[in-house]
Amino acid sequence: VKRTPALWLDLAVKLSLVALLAFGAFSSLDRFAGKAFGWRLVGYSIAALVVPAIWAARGRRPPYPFVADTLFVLPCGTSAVGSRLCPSRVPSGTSNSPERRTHVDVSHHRRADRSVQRDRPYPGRVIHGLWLLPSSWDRWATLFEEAGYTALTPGWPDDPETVEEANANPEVFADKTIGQVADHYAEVSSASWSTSRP
Amino acid sequence: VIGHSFGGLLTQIVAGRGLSAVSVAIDPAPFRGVLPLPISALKSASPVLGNPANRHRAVPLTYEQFRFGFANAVSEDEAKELYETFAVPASGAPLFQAASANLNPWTEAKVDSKTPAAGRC
Repeated sequence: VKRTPALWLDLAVKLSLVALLAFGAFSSLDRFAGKAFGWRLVGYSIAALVVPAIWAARGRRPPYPFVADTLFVLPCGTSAVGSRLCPSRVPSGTSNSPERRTHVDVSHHRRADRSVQRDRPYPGRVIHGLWLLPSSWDRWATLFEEAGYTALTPGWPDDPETVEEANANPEVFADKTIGQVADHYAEVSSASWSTSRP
Repeated sequence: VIGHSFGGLLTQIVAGRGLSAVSVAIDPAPFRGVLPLPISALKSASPVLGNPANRHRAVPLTYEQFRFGFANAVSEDEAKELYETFAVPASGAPLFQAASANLNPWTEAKVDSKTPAAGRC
């Protein structure tokens, strides 16, 4: 085979195509997730062999059709490069790393957030610990509200309204377990979501 | 969702159930799998853990106990004011639950810290 520029162009296109697909298939970069680079690597490599196969089947008569071969492979290359440049639109679950999935989940939340509540960011909830009441968050809640956030301070189940009431009837606190309080907050969360989302 | 102390633990439990977008747990109480136990945490919990009968009681803090566990970075006057304004008795049960979280197979002090639904913490 004569070493013409057409040969080098053809080789360059095919090699870079395979290299790009292999990189996409075996790297764990987010933008390759869910774009079937593994299957493309197989499929496009077969496509790259179609013209040589036809040429061989017809008796390997020179000259080898470099231009036809290049033109035949070029769409595969365009498609692979296009996928490489476009960010992945695949939702969570298709990529394997937990951090990445967490990240995608959050961006999904943020999207929902923007479309639902344009005037105010996500409603924030502040949870107090032992020996305190929701009132202990009052100053922080004010600060959050002034900064433009919604700050809800739901209490533990049966929390008295005021510190005076609590000190007068301390037995309301007795025997509250972590599980009971967690279930209570789970209910509160679901309720506040359903009222703040359409 | 933001929570402090046992509120921080609750924040993490709620996040583990996929109910929060973003969570901030401030100095949270430990859950199953958290092994380090600082002396200061033991001292803060001692008003309750010191007496097994407190499990089913509501336990108040004395001013000195509140000063150690909560108002430890402010002046004496401000600490007294905070104690008067905010301190109330608390259920003893959560501290016993947190203390036995690594021993009790059915503990409620557990967090699904691996789920992708937990959002950012």
